[in-house]
Amino acid sequence: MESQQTPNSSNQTLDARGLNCPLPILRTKKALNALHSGDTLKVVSTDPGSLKDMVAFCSQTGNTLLSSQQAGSDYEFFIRKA
Amino acid sequence: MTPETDTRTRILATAREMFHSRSYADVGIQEICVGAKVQKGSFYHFFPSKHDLAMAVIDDMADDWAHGFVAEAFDQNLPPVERLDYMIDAAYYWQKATVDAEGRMRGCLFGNLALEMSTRDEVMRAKLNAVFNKAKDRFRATLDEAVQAGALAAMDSEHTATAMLAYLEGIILLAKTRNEPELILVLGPAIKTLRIELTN
Repeated sequence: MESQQTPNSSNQTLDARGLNCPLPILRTKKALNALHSGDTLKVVSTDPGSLKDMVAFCSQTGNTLLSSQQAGSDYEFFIRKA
Repeated sequence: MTPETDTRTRILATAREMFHSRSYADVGIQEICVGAKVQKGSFYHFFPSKHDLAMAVIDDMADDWAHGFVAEAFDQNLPPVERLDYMIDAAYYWQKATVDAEGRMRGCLFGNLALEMSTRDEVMRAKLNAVFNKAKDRFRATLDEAVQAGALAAMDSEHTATAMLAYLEGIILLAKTRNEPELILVLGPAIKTLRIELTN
């Protein structure tokens, strides 16, 4: 999934590179807990499973996956907290 | 990493994958050697037998768990009861990963081996029991902390922790049988409702 409109700013960035499933999701959940409703979190991961996991996680938790894209060996996600 | 450590690590990783996706009995030393790209002689230098290899795989995986997602879920900075939700999420996303990748849910490696081996290999049964006990102790420490903080009423934390582990392993077994990791998300959160009362 690739979004046409990648946000150009976020309230916080989570570096989850080098972590394997399910750690990126657990760290994302923790990072979102520390943010306010409407804030945006940028997550950078290297785990290819993150692509499907972030979709499932946002659908499960009601947060909005604003964009999802690959940049070299990194996967970048922007999530808006519900 | 020295070449020697590298070889041992490759054998362990290959065996873990094969035992987990299939079973202990179904996997032979020959195919582990092929998968790990090592000669049989080299295999026996590290592991005298398949049994010894399986014991090392269990230790290796238990260590990965303890320092990986179990440590992340049972994070001391999280409120105690919330850690249980993180543990359910960890189990779900970990199981979902193999369904996404290979179409099959693998279940819990320790649970799979316990079901397969407990009547056949006393040494392996005891090791798996020790792994489960360590997991139970994580639940117990969390429950004791929650009771101390006043988040939960006093309970028999030893048996409640055992019940929580049994519930989680049971859900994973059913979800594996249905090949539906989502069952972990549906039933998992109720783990927080389990409690065994203290008896006089």
